[in-house]
Amino acid sequence: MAAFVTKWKGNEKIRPGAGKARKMGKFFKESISKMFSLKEEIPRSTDLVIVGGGLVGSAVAFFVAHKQTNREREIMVIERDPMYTTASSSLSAGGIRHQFSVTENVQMSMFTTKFLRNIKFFLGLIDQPPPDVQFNHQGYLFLATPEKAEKLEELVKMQKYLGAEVEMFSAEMLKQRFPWLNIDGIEAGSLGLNGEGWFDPHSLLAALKQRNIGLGVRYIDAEVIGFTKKLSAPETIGNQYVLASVISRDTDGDMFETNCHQVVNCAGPWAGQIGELAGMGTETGALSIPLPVVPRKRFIYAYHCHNGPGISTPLTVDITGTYFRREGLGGMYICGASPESEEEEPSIENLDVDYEFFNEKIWPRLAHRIPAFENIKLKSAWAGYYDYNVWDQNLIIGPHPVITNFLLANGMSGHGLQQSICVGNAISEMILNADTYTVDLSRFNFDRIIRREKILEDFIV
Amino acid sequence: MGDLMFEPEYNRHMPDDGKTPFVNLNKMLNVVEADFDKESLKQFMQRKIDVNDIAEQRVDAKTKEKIGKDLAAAYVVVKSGGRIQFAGMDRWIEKKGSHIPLPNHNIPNLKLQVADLTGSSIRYEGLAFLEGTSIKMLILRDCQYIDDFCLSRLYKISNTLEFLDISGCTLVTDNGLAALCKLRNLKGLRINDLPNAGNKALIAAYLLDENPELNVLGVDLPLDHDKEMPETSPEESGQYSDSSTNSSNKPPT
Repeated sequence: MAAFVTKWKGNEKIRPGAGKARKMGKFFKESISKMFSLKEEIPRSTDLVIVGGGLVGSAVAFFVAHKQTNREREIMVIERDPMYTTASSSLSAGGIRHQFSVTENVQMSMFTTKFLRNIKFFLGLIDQPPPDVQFNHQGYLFLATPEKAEKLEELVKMQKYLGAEVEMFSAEMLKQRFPWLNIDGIEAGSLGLNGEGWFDPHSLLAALKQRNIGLGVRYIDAEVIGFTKKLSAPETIGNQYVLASVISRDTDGDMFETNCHQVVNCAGPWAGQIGELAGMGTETGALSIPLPVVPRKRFIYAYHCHNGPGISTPLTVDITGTYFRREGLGGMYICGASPESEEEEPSIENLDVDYEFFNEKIWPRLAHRIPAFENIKLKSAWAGYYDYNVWDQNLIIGPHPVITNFLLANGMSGHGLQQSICVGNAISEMILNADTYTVDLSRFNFDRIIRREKILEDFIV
Repeated sequence: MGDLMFEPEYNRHMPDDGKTPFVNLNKMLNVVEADFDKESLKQFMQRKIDVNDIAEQRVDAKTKEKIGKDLAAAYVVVKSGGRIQFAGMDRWIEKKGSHIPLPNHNIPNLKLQVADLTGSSIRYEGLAFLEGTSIKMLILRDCQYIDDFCLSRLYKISNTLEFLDISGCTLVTDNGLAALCKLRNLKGLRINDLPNAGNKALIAAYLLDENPELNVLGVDLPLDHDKEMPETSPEESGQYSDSSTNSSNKPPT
């Protein structure tokens, strides 16, 4: 037996992964404490480790579990915030749109819409009512100044070519359709007629998690604190290595090692930290480049208006970048905006809300564009983090060139909700060695960061 | 765009190490290895029905080009068990046994005006027949597969649609009714028996706000709806997360 099992030479406090022996005394101590504790044991080995159990992580787990045969891969999702209190997935405004300037972004959101339309097939449980994500179908409305109207028209043509149901409207047509709109300074707008709108992200997350658990995915309440590495093959190219195991710490403070075959980074705003633990940004060459994803705080304010825009109101994005949408049927609305420059970015230390930002930047612009909003009552507000890609605010997806079994699915910079399903599918196609990709996201791999190339998206909200 | 992924039995990805000669056999076995309890079999059969319906309710582009959009739409409706009326004719045209009494060549100026799909199994994909038609009256009574997404898709005939009946479509919720705001020329709407649309009266009132010509049947309209919350009023339920809420009337300039 000693020939098969290596002696554990790691930190004494970490329970070692499969195939590594520890001293007899320690083993007996563990067995006895296991008898008296109620918590579920973190496995000593698994096939696929997904760091982060939000929408992206759960989508990856779902598609791999859904497509694979006979549970051939054991999937483990490690989530340190099981109640999703600070997770971007629950704090999102919930919007989904097909109006993007990058073609893959359009395709990704369209895929998500198609998924939600068929949610009964994917996530429905037998003889249960289908999961309801409260999809509002009113679409998005982007307003354009005279300078930008021509570009907007070209982009609408591109989106329609890809199958999105979007139309251009002149300012007069907009005024007729939406009498509450002040078209001062507006030349045209683009409106999503079908498939766009907003929904409840938490319902989707709960449905994904429930289906995943039914498919045999393990959700572990722990935080990833490190990885161990090993060379991927006797003859390695350059300094390539693989992540051999993941070390996680559970809520009691105990540390566990789990051997793994592949790791997917779905840690959202904190993906940069996970990348650093895996070795990105440490050594030389391609490894010296850190994962350029940081948390960026964004606010959402909820207010009530007595005579506000009616039921056909789309999620409207003003020329200033301020957006608003209806919330429910009782005259409530929510709004928000991204800060105009890097200097104005709020501190990410906590999720406290800055009401001055609403009073000074958002409300005046909203009231100018929608005169009915001159009389509103602010009811509540909350903050969440964007998983912000500081390089070009677009998705980073695919295996790392040096850490060959480390897959990235990060940096969606505010579009995570819309792209999560498609990203999950794309990662599952990479893991399961698919013949063709449903949406070809090879442009978005990490190589572009190394080559200092940017893919820029015009419609950032 | 990758419709294959909706077919579980054809889209299983096997790890290809090049050594196993029985890859296809495993694929077949995978189908057989499905759980053999009553619920799984029911789900498996339902999936077969879904796929079959979607295939049946489709019209390919070549046929559409040959016989024209209105006639192609009429074919879909009649084939699915519904009945139609063309503009200028008084009688219903419907399937007799398995014979479809419609011409199979293009007739110019033939306009589909009424489509009655009561009790049919029309799907979201099947509603593609609406594109390019000028249907004035659409009856989707007791259609078990019509849901919110289908109602959103009706925007295609918003220019001409004047009457819509969606009574008895159990999958429709409040959000689906709200999506009917896209039917800007609608004059009549019947919404009886929608058990999953709890606030249909309130939504009907909102639809009337935007479209005063609309006549809504099957619901008791609130006499004086005041944009109050369905359960509690905003004053009562104001949960302030921070004490400094702004309640002045004018925004700072």
